[in-house]
Amino acid sequence: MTVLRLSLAVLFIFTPKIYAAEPCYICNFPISELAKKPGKADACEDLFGASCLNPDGSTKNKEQEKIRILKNFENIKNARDAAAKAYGYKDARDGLQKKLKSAGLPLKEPVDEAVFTNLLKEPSANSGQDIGRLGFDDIEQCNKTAESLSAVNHMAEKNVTALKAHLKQVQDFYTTHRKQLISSFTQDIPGFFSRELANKCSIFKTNFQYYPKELNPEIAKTCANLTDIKIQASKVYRAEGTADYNRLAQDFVKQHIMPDLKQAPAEATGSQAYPPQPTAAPVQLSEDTALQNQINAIKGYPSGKCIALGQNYTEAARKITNDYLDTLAMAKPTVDHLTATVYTSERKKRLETSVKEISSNVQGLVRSLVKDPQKRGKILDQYDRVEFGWIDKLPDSAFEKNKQGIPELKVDSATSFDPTQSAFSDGSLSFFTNYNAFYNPRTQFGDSVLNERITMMPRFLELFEENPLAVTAVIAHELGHKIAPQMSTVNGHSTKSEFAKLLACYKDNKSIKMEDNQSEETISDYVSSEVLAHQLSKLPKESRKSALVSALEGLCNFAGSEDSFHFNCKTSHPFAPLRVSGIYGANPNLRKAVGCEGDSKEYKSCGMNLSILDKLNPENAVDKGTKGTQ
Amino acid sequence: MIKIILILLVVSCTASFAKSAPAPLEVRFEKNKQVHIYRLEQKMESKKLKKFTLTFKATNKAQKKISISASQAQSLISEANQIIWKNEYRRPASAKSCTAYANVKTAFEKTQVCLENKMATGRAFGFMNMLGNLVQ
Repeated sequence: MTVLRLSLAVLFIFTPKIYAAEPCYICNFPISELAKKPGKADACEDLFGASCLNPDGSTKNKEQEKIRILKNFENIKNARDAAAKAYGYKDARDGLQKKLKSAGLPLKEPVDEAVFTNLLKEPSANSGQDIGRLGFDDIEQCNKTAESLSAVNHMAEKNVTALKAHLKQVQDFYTTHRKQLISSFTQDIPGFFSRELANKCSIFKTNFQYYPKELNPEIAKTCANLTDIKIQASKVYRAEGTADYNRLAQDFVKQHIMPDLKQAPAEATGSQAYPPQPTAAPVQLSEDTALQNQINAIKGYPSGKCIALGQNYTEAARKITNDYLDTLAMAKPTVDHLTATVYTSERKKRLETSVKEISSNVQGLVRSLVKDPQKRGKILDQYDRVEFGWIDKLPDSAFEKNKQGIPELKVDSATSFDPTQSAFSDGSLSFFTNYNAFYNPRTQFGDSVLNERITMMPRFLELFEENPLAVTAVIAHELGHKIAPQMSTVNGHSTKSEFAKLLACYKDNKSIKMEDNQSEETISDYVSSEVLAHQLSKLPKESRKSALVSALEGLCNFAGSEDSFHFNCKTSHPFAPLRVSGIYGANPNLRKAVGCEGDSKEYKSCGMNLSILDKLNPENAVDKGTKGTQ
Repeated sequence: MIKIILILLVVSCTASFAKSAPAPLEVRFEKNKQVHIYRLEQKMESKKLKKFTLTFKATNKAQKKISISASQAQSLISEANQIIWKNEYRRPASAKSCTAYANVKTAFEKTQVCLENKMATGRAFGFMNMLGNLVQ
């Protein structure tokens, strides 16, 4: 009893915490009033407003971003088209349409080009819906026939010839429907197993009182052997792409496709045993009534059959689309095109120079920040070895010819967390469409090692052409991760004590009210703001402020609406207005560099009381022989 | 005594989990001690109408969720199913071990996607990216 009472007490103590989980994530403070003033021109007063918002409050650079997205898509389209040509198609779109047709899933004509374009633009996100919107010839025909069948009221029809004709129409409809069902399942064995077999068996087994075994003997037999059937299914699935596949898959589907579940009559589903005993002797029926009953028994709801068939076609077509895009992504023409256009040697040269310079700036910061000579030396040495993620043109030996004679990337067993390694094994090529960058510490998996590295995804590489300062801020942020409190512990050189005061400053109510889980990103932003201060101080004074505004474009891309603030306030990145105005805009060195007078009025000034700019200046940088002793 | 209380707590939590139906889809990704879980949940709105919600939960972060249509939910389940089959039955012969990349689970099947299976890893990467975009 005492135990029970105590356990209840503990539960009571814990329960409010559980219920409080949701409100706990909602920020209890408003966004700075100044950050709400859109398009305020003065970067010294409202850096977020100046950098990220138009005068009407809309997000800045939206139009430019739209143009960039189109350009990016065009490049991916060209890459896929090149691969499709190697496969003998006119382009990627033509290839997909022909693939679907040859799989027995011809699209409805005329094809809606806008939907088709969208399907290839964001394949994995929208493929199901887009394919559904494109529609299929067979489904359109199915709907028409179903409509005409439903229009006939056979119970009111007494003419035997008419009833016979209608019966034949219904029978033909279901014969065609079954053929089409088998054909669509043939193209998608995983879907057939999951949706048709496993799903139906689950319903059958859990609702045995509604679907008695006696009425569903075929289903009962299949469900009893489901494990063996799955082994057979996996064998058929492995044969995909071989000459035998269609025959094997069709035989398999024909053998195991299930009839509709038959439900016991309503009175039998209670506590009564099934089947119920016959209550009356059979009655001799007239020919028309017999035909009516025959039609009744099979007609059911034809339109419903078309809806279900449409879902099957959509799923089969989605599988074909995604498999086709996987094939195109791995093909040599795609890989060559994307590496040649995104990872150019010219771009690499300029970016590597830039990364080297930014890394040297961050090292300058470390020299000022870390007093312990041993620790400082270790960090500086490690910074010299941080790699910059890049995909060089792959040699011919990285490809092998597939069954159609097209060279495609070898699917070897390389173990790696390196996203550039799997960039082409994702048919949606999302690595090339996403806006992101990351830092990874040295990571070992078995025999494979991924060196310490920063990676800019292609969208940032492209932004570098238009706005190098924006990418500078991002590179500095990623390099900053290396010395952020938690990551520095992973890297064997904890900087918790060095950043303690700064983090306390950011936690302050007058600053960004930093959450505990935001210290990594906050310190990375801080490092980036110091690097920007140094970089901007090299520009003519009159252009520094506008350069700062454009340097924050990368951060603005992550700014959500005020509505999303409540969700974002506790994520690992502080909310964009807080990052831009509260970290960058309140950094005293950065303010000084761009000519802002005094501290930020809105956010507490948070920075390091060190002469960082002098230390960052490469001209003052110590050579390697003396580093770590300064 | 404290042990008994903790056991009781665990038992009560386990029991409450056991009551809920399994999610039709769950994707779990773990890296650098950060866990990302995407989960599709279904609720019967009426006798025939199912309501689907996609949730995303990361370590130390607020849960995000959006409502999605039945056809979208079906698409997600099917894609997860394709990844499971690709990983289970199309593993390259050269892959002797499995370095965990992500766990994908549907109502009937589950798999641990291995980095050694590049095609499944790539597809899972694209899938998580799409789930991430949906739930943002």
